[in-house]
Amino acid sequence: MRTACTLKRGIALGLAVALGASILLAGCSGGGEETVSGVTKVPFWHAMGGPLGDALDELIAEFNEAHPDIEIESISMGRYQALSQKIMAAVAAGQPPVLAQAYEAWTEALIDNESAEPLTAYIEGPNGLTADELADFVPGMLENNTWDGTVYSFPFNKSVRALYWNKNLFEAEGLDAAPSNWREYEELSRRLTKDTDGDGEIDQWGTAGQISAWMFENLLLQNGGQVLTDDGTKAAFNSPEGVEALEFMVRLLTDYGKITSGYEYQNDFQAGKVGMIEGSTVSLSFMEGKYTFDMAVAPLPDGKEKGCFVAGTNVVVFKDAGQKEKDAAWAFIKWFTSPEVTARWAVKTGYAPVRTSARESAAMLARFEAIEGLSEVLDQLEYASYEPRTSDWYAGRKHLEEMGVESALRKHKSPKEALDIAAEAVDNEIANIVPM
Amino acid sequence: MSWISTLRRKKFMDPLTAALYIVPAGIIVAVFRMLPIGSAFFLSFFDVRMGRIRGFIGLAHYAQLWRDPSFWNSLGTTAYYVAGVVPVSLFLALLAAVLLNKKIRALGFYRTVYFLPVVTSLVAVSMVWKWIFHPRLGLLNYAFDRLGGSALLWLEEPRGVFELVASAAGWEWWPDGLAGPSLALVAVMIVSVWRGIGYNIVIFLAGLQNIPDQYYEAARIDGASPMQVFWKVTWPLLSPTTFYVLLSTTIVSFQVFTQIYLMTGPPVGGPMGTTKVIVYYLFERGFDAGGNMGFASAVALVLFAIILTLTLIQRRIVERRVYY
Repeated sequence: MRTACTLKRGIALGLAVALGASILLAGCSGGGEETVSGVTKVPFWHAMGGPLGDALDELIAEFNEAHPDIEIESISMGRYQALSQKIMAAVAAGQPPVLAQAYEAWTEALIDNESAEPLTAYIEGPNGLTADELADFVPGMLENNTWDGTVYSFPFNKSVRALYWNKNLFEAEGLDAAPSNWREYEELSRRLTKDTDGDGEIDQWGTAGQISAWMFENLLLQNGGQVLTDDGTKAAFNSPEGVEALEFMVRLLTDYGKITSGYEYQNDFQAGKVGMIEGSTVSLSFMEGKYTFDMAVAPLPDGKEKGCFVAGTNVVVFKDAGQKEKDAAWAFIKWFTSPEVTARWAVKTGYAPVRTSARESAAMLARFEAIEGLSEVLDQLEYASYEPRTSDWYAGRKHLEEMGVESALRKHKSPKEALDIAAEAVDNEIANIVPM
Repeated sequence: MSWISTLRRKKFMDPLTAALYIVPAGIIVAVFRMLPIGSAFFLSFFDVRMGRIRGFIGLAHYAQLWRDPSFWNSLGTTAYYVAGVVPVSLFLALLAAVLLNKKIRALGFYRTVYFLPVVTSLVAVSMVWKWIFHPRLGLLNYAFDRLGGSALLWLEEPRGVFELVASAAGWEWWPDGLAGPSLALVAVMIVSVWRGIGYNIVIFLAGLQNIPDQYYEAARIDGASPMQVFWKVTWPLLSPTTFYVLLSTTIVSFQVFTQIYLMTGPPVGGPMGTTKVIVYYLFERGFDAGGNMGFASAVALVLFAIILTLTLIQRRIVERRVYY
């Protein structure tokens, strides 16, 4: 009896140890891209959802079909914040994907960590790009993906802001053109804001928008201001130009417009209750078929000068991947940024084509025919700028949005006070001993 | 197996058996609790980015934390949250438990109803409440409208609740420092109380049922009023339970994250950062682009120190009034 007992204990002990060991081991296994039956698998992490995700998956399927030896695996993380967290965690765990969308700030962190594959060798390699092809990229886009002379990422889904306007509401006011400058922007917003059914309450607005640093940054640029000082060590958006830009934004959105949370302002616009809204060109794909009036788009109204920022992400290849995977990833990047494919991507999603010649493609020309003003909107790329690409600014933009733009739009602080507070927070972010 | 019988003879067996039983759970706790806590402590003194240690920097993270106004803001927000959730949750849970302890009809039904939110996924709860609080489409403003009240912005209202009350009472000016938690934070607090109350009720009920009936009988014979019975019998004899509920609710409240992450914003922590609690601050610093794990670890340790200190203070002050 006693031996049976001790035997049982022995088994129990064995089980306990096995359980513990299996738990420990479970954490160590997994990962690694294997080549099965000659097909190179390339996991591609991105944040495209909704119509954008559908469009991307369609193009990826087409690429995979045309390249039987490569399989790009589309893995959507839903949104950029989640994508960023997953990438950083995967890199920390030593198991990054092969290909991922990334903002410049993330790429910079990845380069710093020696996790990003330099792409210069691929561009110059046998399956590379000719000088003519490189020159065909929209000016600025490759430069913004270059660090110390080395290209680390490629422009993937890039957009600019546009002014969407409801032609029917404009016509009812005897207007036939979108505002071309700030003065007209404000004036037309004022004229379009009214009480249409005479119940004493405003029910049609000149404009609408959400609280976003993005709109302010574009206005700042148009007013001759800049986000950071030239050496990038201090905030510069609280300059007189910045204060004036924010004052303009507050007047526009609170006197003649309405502020909504999230993308509700787009719904209000689609419902015909708002004369014009600012939005990314990508909003086109989300609004498609959801409005019944005549809609047109226009470039952002000019301030003292023309100005607009390019938004959107690029793609990076991870250094840790095998050479075959990296070559396959490059083949996909090259294919995706070719004039024909980038044009189709642009038509499907509203993103700007990354190649100049893409604008002459049949697909793009048909799109310009269908969306009045789209060609002029894309002309903004000729003078477009890029945001600071440091991770300090990635964190800093949140301060600008929260303490600067939101605080002023909610009339919590005056635009000047709000921007000064935000600038101080951004300066602190940059000056920290350990950069974020 | 003779060594085991030798051990048994020497009376070593019983502690050893006990130790063996602890091993499986012990390994899990060690790997998933102790190890991360230990490494967080270690990492907080290093410059770590993307899992790579770049060098020892001593207390630099802590110094940086001390100077960061958003850290202090998040701490203030958390303090409001804890100060609001803990007393309200305790009071309502105790009230409900005392009522449920009576022999009323459909008792099981009520107990189930109160416990339902606890077993419901917090993600689902947050999404539903986010809709309830929606300024234009939400149920709450609809009800307010029907009752003749004015609509509130709820999760989109950055102004403090005291300030809102004051302005509703017609006061033009109200000092900034006394604005109180934003209505958005109060909305999250309401959800947290609603969600957590069922658990506290169950604990209170267990405590109430542990109080022997003789005391109540004796009190009744002495002609004590229901209030006297509660304050002289129930309250003191329930005090160990109350103490436990107080401690656990305080700790859980300091660590609030899910509701904030899912209900507020965009951006999360809004409007105007008035719902950015300390754990979200930690999350943002540790996991966003170029995330700094060392810094986030320092935040975690400061939070740990705060909770530990508060727990010790609660023990010293409150435990003296606890009757075991």
